[in-house]
Amino acid sequence: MIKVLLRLPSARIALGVLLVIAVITVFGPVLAPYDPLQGSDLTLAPPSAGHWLGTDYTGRDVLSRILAGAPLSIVSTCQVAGIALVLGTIPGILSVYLGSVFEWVSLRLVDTLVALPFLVFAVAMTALLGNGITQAMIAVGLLVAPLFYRVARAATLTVARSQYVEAALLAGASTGWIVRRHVWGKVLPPIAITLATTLGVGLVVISSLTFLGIGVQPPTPTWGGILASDLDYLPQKAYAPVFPAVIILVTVLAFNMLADAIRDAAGQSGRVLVGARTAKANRARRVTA
Amino acid sequence: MSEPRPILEIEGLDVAFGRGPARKEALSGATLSLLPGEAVGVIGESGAGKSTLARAVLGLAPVTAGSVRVVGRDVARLSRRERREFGRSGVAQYVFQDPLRSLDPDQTVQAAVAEPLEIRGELNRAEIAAAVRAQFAAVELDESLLDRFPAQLSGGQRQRVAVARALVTAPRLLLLDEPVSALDSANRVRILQLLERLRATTDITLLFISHDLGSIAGVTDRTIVLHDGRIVEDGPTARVITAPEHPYTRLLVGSAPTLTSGAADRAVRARLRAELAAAQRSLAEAAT
Repeated sequence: MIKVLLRLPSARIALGVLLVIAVITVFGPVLAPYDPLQGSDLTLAPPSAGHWLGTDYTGRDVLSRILAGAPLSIVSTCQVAGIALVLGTIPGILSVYLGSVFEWVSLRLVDTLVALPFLVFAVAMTALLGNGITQAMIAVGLLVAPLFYRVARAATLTVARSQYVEAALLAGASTGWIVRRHVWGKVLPPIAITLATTLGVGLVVISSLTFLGIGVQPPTPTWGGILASDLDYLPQKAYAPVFPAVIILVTVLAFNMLADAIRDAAGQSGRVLVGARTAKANRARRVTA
Repeated sequence: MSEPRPILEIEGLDVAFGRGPARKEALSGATLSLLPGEAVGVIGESGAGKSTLARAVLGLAPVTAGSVRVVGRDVARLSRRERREFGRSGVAQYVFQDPLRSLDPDQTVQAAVAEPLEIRGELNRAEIAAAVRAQFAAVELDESLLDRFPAQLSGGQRQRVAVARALVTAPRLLLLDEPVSALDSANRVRILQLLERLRATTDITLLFISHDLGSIAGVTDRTIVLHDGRIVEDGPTARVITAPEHPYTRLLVGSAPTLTSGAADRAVRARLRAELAAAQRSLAEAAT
């Protein structure tokens, strides 16, 4: 599937953008030209040769804050998505196979998680486990997990009742075999799409939590935090939120493009797509020859 | 000389779906025995219990009473582990009605045919590939199709792939659930000829389910007629078709369309229906 994926221009663009984001995540703090926490008298300055993206309300360099905020923003987002993915997908698939007791218990647990108020739960978790970003991300991940559970369960249910799974069961296949051979390939595309959406949502969630001082305490830079603080100074510098917003937007867009590409490249649709592209390329070659 | 041991023995089989007021008897008191090499047809209208009978043989239907023995093993009372072992033995195999739905769309047909052998895990990769190629040849499929996906094959080719998958474990009992009803007449004949050849070269036992008398007549030497979950007639196919005894079988045979005469006269069918209703009434009276 990876070969098919790389034949899609959208996948190549998305992976290129995500590679740049990954580099910023790893080397961002080193690349930052100024100390992201050190203020100056030059407040709300416009972009200049000294400060490419200008300065914020306490005179801190915006570019440095965006670069230094990358690790926390991206790593936390990945934590949320990773926790939700593992806690949601695995029980979601297994709920179809592990019998009615597991199915009933996991469904009720998921219903309970859906019913919990998001912010109250996050505050309670940080009060219980300490006010840290990881604790907050565990709380958020736990609350997003039902999304993965439902998507994985719905996709698995469709496959589990199919005749080819029945044929494999009649041949003596184990549950693990069925999941590996028949279920996983069909559950992966909707999961990938949910994952990309969650990664996007994760970035926005961090900004909400920063805004409320949960998990991340100012002046620690995060992309969402920069956006939230810039919004307070719109009369003085109307375009200030554009910079953090663009980087969040581009990252979320890249995740979504990758999810779409995975959906297109997976299974039968991927084969049809590649077949059509190969035929088109062959036609073009014939015309030029 | 002693009588050969039956491959399949069904005794007083009851199958019911649902509970309480929603409970529906799908099969009641079915008794049947299939000897090695026999080809038995099961005929009846939709909802008569034909597929339930086949599923019960594979241990997939909720058996409430009676027993189903395949090569001496009671498949209705197997544990999960025993059922897996029984499946891996490949003794009984099933061919579904719709080949497109019974083959994984994301799996090449080679992988689909190889799967039962891979699950069994006795052969290495090269041996499995050789077995798959041999099976492809046996069902008259070209080797160039091995890497195709089900959607890239015709309906007839797909059903032959499904038959190849069922035969790759060399089963002793093959259950075919309406295997030709989704096919055009040319492909129908090819599948029926394939089954004929299979019977001529092996001692495989066939349970052929169909609502089409023509297909049943072409493959089987004995026919069972199911009506409302009960076996109402069991006899040689030629006799069941030419001289049916039960009123329902007479209605079934009388309703079958033929090329020359079309369906039987409306008056004849009305008489047969009246005859069947009378038989059912007397049966109900006898029961009370």
